[in-house]
Amino acid sequence: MTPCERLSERMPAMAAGADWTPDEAAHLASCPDCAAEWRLVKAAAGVGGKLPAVDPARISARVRARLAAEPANESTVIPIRSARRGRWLMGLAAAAVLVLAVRAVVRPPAPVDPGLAAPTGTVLSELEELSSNELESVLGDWDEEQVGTPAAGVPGLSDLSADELERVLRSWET
Amino acid sequence: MTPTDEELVASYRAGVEAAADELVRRHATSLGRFLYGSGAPAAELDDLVQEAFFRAFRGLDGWRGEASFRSWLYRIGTNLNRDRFRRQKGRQMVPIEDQEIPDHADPEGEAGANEMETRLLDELERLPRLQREVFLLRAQQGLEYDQICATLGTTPGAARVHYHHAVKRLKEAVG
Repeated sequence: MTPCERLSERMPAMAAGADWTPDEAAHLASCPDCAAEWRLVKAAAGVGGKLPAVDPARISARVRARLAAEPANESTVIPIRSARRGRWLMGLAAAAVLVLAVRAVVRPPAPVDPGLAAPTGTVLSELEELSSNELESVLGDWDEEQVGTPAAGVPGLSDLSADELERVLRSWET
Repeated sequence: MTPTDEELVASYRAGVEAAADELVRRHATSLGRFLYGSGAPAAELDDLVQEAFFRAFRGLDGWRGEASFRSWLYRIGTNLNRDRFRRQKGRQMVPIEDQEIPDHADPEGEAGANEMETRLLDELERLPRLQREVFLLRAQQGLEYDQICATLGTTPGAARVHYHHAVKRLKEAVG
């Protein structure tokens, strides 16, 4: 690990009030990159600090009142696995919409020859070949900001009805 | 001796409601600041934090302790904030200078820090969501990478890469 990497690892603790060692302080004073990162970390540690704080006592009272009033219902909780699955479906559906839109542009509709084999080389099959880590990385980079801002002429997911989305997903299963 | 979060959760599940108060006292403010940095408007922080705790407590049966309570809570808060973003399809930032900011003894130093924080907030808004969240969980909340993974459902390697890219872009933009 380089001195810069060691310093980077320590910065959150330093921002919380710990002290640099003399060696770390000397490196920080002589390394513009580390100094720039340190300014960012210090600023990040202060973000929201000047806001009127949320009131834990008030929040606690409200939460307890709601817990007493509303019976447990697991369906309203956000489980980690379903969140991951939802992201997968969002990524898959967005990829499907994109490919369908590209197909519509580059290949005009033509009569379908029932003797032809099903299309191959789809985005889905490419995704299936990825390792879990690679898939994680691809999906992780798929922002809802990006999904929500499709290219001109390409429908966004938010433009699709539930039925349309279902059809898009089914089109990848056949 | 101060009880751990996990001990407080166990107490709460055993019927000690005051344990829930202590968990809220420990984490409500920092969760609110994280959500604010992640794009939640200041006016909605109370509701978001309240909802995150409500869902966390009500969903404790689904929490098996693989991640810390804090990671579990932040995970729920993050998902709520993402849902809010999707509903609104955009971000409505409330500039920090519009908030009720208390007086401080070092106005010049505070002004400089506020300016840096405001610039940082502006640039955070432009980062991809995961980069923004990883950066804040690391730099603002001081979480270790394994805790960040548990919160955001990613891998340690990916979290480090997101942090590195976030710092690189923020350095270029904020300096």
